[in-house]
Amino acid sequence: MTERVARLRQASLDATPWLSIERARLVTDFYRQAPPLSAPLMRAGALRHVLEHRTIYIGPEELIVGERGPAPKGAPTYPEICCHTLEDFDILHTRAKISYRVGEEARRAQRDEIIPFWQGNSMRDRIFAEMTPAWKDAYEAGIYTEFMEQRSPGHTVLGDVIYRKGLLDLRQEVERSLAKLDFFNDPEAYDKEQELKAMSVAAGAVIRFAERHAELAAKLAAEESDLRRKAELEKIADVCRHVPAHAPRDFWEALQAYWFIHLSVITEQNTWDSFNPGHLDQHLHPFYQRGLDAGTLTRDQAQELLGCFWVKFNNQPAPPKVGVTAAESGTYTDFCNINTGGLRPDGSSGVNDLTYLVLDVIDEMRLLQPSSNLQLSRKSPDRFLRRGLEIVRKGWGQPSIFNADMVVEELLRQGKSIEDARAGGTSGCVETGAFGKEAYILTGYFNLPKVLEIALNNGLDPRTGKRIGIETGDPRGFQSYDEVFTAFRQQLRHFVDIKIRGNNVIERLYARHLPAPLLSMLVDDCISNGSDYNDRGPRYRSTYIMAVAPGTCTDSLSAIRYHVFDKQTLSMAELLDAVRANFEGHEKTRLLLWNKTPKYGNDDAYADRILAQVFDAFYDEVNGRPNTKGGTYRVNYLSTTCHVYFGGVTGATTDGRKAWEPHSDGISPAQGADRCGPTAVIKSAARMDHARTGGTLLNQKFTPKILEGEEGLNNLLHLVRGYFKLDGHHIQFNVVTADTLREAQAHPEKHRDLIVRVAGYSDYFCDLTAPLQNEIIARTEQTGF
Amino acid sequence: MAGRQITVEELIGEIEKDLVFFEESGGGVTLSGGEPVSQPDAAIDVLRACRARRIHTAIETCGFAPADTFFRVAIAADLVLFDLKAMDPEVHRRTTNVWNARIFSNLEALVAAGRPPTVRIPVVPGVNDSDAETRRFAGYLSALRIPTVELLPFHRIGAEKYRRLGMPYRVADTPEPTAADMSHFRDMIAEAGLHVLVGEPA
Repeated sequence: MTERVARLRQASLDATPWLSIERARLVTDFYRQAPPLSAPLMRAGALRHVLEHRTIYIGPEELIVGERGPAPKGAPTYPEICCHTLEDFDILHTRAKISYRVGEEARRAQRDEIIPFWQGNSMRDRIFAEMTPAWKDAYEAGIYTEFMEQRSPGHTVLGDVIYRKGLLDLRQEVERSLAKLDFFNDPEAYDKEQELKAMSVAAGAVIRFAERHAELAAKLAAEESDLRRKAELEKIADVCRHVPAHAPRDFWEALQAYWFIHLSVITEQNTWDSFNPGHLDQHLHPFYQRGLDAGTLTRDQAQELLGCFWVKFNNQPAPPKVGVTAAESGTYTDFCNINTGGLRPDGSSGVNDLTYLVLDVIDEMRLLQPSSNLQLSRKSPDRFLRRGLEIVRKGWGQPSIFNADMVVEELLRQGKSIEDARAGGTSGCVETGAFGKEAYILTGYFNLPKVLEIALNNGLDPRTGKRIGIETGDPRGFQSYDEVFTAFRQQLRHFVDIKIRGNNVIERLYARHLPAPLLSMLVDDCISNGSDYNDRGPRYRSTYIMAVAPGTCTDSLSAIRYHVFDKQTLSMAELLDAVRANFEGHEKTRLLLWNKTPKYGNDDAYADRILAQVFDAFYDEVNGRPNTKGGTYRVNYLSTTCHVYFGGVTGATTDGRKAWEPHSDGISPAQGADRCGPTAVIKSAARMDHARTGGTLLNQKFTPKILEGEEGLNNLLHLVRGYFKLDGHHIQFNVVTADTLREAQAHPEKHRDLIVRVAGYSDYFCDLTAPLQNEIIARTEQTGF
Repeated sequence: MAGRQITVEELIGEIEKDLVFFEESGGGVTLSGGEPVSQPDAAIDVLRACRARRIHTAIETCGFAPADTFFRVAIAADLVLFDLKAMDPEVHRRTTNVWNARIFSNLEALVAAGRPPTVRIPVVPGVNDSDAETRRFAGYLSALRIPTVELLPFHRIGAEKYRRLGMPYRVADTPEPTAADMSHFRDMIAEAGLHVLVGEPA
């Protein structure tokens, strides 16, 4: 790492997140003064206004320039989507974890300008106003979460377009699409015209944003006395004049072009999962190779530029989240997840020289953001996996590892073309998508064990006493396991129906009121369709509901089947009484359930059959339903930090879990339920049909000891290859001792740098809430293969 | 802490679950201690069933068994990991309660049959690590042309288990060998032309 990168990195680590009110004020100014415009032009106009008037920042020593806020770690707000109350600001400012410094000026502006204009008119307000009482009841009970109540749809990854074309080229495509509009025969011609005009405005806004950086760089260069820095600033000015207006000419410009696009997309809206360059090594490789061949770039220079680029991601904390959204995704990480390796559209291995350089950068930068992953195919060389595992072994949670062949299979099953599938990959935590061509919108987590709890209470939520489900019968009268499962299945359908009804409304709200013309211009085929990313624009439009805690749900069903019906060690009444009492006075029963139940994660066919049954039930309820954009519903299995929140609203479960304890995470077994080692976990996890999902998340935790040496690395390699041979989608590793974690919990000040794998991302252990810290400690610490 | 009874069929069922990992890694099944040769018929059934499924097999044995029994079990495995604790008969007798003559003859029989095992020596300070004893190990094993010798440093990790079982832990005061001790032992064995590996102290 060069000294420059080391200093930029340290400055990024030292800066604390703070809330910037600048964007909110500019957006509000624009909305207040703008003439009546169509929604797309309103949005493009607001973007132009912000990019024209916001603060431009170029920091000392930087080579890649641009910040989301006025300075590093400044997080803007999006009052048109979520208008924070002053209490929200207090919470953000004072909460112990994931806090954002809120200054007096921001508070005053929020009180005097932002709240008076947006209260009741933000997307969040509109959403809650439109939801039915049944939706609100289930939401408040913690059956599901709602992604779109504080952040807009995102979950998309850029393809290779910006490396081939400048925004001026894209604007010409927009003009051509406009010229082709047929107002005589196409009833949507006007809507398309408005959308396309908005794209054109947005393109101009981003070009201007880059020019403003060029102007500042030129000014700084003129004032600079250090000749070396002066030359750098002149070069920065030159780069910013060229990209992203034009296609990049070299490696540096390619990185800067992406970065301007990235910042602009996340300024347009606070999309989920920030934004993402996807297959960075594949996209940059031609520039890298050309630079080396021409003698204009060295490997060291490329590494330094990548280091500067990495720091940029780390400077952007996620937009501030409050309430349930903060609980389901409690992290500064904004889920930009860079893919390495994978496949190329022609089916050949995507691993190249630059892949190894990118892995070196990931290794030396050791930053929370961007997140990173290996896309491992059968065709990928072992050297690639080995290099990745060397980094994994260092124990800070990156990179995670994906089965590239499975990702292709999942996308093909969903009807993507083979080329689009191979150009795809994974983003966010583990979500599969056709990069540059798909809006794959995650709409909320779904609490499987809670649904079972409602079924076991004949439609009542025991936590509140409220009836939120349907009457499926008193389980004490059930004569067979099948009756239990049927009741679960009926409740499941009931709640999926409610969630989808809500989604169908929310999708239309975003399509009508919050189009994203800039993002649309970057995603195929919005320009030729003349339609928005949030509507029918993208080539592929998928809507997801994310199942949480298949492990806890499976074990709970397994306990009922095994103890009540098969072995008859307990009557249903005894079991439910013990659960209702949260096992107080029933510890023997709890230990029986905890220790003597066939559980998921042990390669035990009894439990794993139930897992497959749960999987099929959720899949059948969700997969294939139409969304409102001409696309289709899909399922995936991840939980971010939501398994802690969902556990916190779920009483004791029949697997012996006590009330309010976290659920199992991702598709991992319940904490401590797996007792036969990692190969058994993998066999159980592979029992799930990953091909029918859009992603699954499997966590494994190892102590550093067992991964030592060549033998440890080989064992890990074979474990990964074995899981992928069985069609597993994703696996990630925490390499740390439980003692270290406990030590860090007791003395956070000494372990600030301790990064652990949480869900689809890594986080600083000390930034996690105590229950989440405990949960990570409890995840089975594997002590041997 | 306690084991459980399991039939050969059940055991094969458990083994087959990990087939994908054996195929991926080239790994396989090792029957270890207790002492697999003390259940010869079951051990042979399991080893044969594995070999029929092309799963690599190994046994870990102390070599103390009647010659014909030992030989039957040992040749059913692809690899034998043969523990040799002491060359000095008195030391062997004192520490294991048995003489080592039968162990030597079983080892020699395997070599004679063209199936030389990997020999493993637990290095216990003050018991079998004197220079004289080490030279005896080296001389004997090189004469037999043993392909690989593994040295396992003694450790006291078993103390907790003995405590829980309520058994006296008689080696509580025996020191663990240092890295230098292990290198010295290794070099002496290697000088005799043998291929030596030093295991992890865990």
